[in-house]
Amino acid sequence: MPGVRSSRLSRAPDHPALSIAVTALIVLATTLFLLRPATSAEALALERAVQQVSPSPGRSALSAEGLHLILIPHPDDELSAWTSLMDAEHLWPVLVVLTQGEQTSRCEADIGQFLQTDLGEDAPEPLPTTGRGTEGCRLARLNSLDRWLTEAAAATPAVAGLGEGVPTLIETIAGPARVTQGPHSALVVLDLGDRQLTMASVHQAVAATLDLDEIPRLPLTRVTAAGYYAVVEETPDQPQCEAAVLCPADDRPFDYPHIDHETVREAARSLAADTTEGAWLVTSTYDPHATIHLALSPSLYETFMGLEGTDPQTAQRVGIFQRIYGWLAFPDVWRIGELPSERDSVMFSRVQSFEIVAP
Amino acid sequence: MSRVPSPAPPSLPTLTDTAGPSRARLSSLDIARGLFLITSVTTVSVLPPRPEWLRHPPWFGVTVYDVIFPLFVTLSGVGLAFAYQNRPPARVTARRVIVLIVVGVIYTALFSGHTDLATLRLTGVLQLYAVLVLLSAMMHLVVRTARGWALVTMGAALTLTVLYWWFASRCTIGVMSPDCNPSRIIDGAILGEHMYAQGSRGHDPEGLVAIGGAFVTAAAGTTAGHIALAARGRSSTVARQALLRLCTWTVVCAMLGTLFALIVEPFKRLWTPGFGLLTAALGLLIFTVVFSVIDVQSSRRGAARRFDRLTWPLVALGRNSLLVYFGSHLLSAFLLRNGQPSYAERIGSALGWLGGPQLAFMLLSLALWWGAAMILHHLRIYVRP
Repeated sequence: MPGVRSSRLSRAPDHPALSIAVTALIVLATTLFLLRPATSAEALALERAVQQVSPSPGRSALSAEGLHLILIPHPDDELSAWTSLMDAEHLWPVLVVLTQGEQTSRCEADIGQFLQTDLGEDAPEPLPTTGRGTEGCRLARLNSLDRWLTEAAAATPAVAGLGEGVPTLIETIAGPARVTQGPHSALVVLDLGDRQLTMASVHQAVAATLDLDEIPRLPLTRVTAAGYYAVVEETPDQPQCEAAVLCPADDRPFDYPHIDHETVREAARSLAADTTEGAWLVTSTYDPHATIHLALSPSLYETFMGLEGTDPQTAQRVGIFQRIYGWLAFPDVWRIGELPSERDSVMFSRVQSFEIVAP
Repeated sequence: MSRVPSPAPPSLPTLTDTAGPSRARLSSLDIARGLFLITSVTTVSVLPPRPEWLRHPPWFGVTVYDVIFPLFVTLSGVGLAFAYQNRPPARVTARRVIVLIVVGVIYTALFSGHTDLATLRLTGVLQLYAVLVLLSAMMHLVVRTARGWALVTMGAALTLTVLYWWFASRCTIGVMSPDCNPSRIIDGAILGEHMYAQGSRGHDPEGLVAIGGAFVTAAAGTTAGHIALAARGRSSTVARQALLRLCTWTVVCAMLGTLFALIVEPFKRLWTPGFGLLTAALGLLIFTVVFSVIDVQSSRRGAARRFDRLTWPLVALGRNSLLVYFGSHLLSAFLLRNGQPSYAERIGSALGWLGGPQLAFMLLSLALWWGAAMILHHLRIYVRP
């Protein structure tokens, strides 16, 4: 490189400006690549261990390769499987809401205790002051579901048209079903009874859904059980998971052993054999059976779960989910975090984990 | 400090100066340093609250502020090629290194305000620079060509990348953290409480491990220095050939840096090899552009004297780079950390008519250091270890 030989002199560039311009462009690009926001070691490790999924534009039934049944125990659980929805962009998603969540305690107590409209939460319509199991409670939850899907569609086109579409009421073998079709997906709302789900009733709901004329005749490719389920007592003291950053030893998964979630999970597991991609069961990062971990992008998570301020008591609810489902939140607001966390009470984390049951 | 005894020439000779081709000084390095120092002095004199991009991230991440010192190291690397091309006596190097280390320890103590001898920090930017001088001097005993230094640069970067990758793969979470990094182990074992933040931060950004990465950056600059030296005093065709080689070397550093950064996360705290090469590429680009304009184009167009007059202030600044770089850091730290509100803010407010306190303090700092450098240059006084 240093020796300048006379035989090479004729190769000296006549337009050094061009050489410099090309070099400058390359260095500019690599410098931009070098500059990056500050992040912690844990956040970087997580970024490397977990694949981030992005929303796809959605596809028509004609171009879809198969059906993706997303079994949702209650209206609001759907967010826990949002990455599975986005990951399966080759499939036609059908959101099957199995119950109407009418047993929530938020319909029993003084709603004012849980609803913080001054912090940006939307009041449910109608105000569910009529008690658990009432029509008002059902309507409030379903209206929240519709509003959430309407607004979420702006960030996730796959669910476009589900929230604001005109539903059709259809009598099925699993009871009356409210069916809404969008250009890229369908929504089926059943009423199998909050806290009353059984394996048989879930199987019946799946059969009824597949039998609907509104659902494209496509092979059943994937079933997702969209109900977060974790039992903290079952987590070992020294958790073993795929990557240590997914199960920090100083924390535990958010404890949520809801009976309906467990039922849907086991029902989906038993349906794996009827699919080609298997069953995806929402679980925690600590679950040694979790085989895939997917993350919403930070911006999408912010869109859904954003809070303005760090104090849950005073933080403004700016995320769509926080705003619309805020009246159902516990312990005070839907706590946000990278991983499900017992310490920080995070259930709807940015990273979502699935146990995949092979067909 | 040294005073150059010969009378001041009317202008600095450029690459193709026919008066003394073999001894002609490459003014492009001084000008590149001058341009760099304008950036350095202005960024160090920013009043609080400093924006995010003018702060060092606590661990991972790279901000504009992180790039400033590596630019200095790159250009210093170019200068080391010039300094050690003719093998100065070992005692000169020994004196340089000792002075830099002693002054560095005092500078670090004053800059940080930590003067407890029991836990006095022994590392710092000047000490890092001292080790680079020593390494460069020793390496020049066996490697004195651009090709050799290019191989040293790439070999060191590759070796460090493999070592960092191996280390990171053994960390619990798979990436280096303040709790799991080679600096914590090596610097911690050697320096103990005499390392950065008395060891409480789990690493030393100017420790022995970081010096490895800084050496890559300096070596990239030294390679460029040898490329430029090979063309010193030669024809404009040779100079243009050297320019093409500088461009090629800059691109090689940028590409290799990108590749290594994909393997080991680039960040300043440990001066990882990818970080070292990518920042070096930026420094080399600055040097190459100035080399082209000053040492190739100006003489080609026969406009050397006009260029010399125009660039004299930058040369003046660049030739006292050590004084201006470290002096401005020390003075700004003193003015920013003392007083309530700080002296810096008071000065800025008093001169607010210059366009606001922020701009006023920046301009004043720049004027002060630039003015001092020009006076010293006029008197041919240069602060060197």
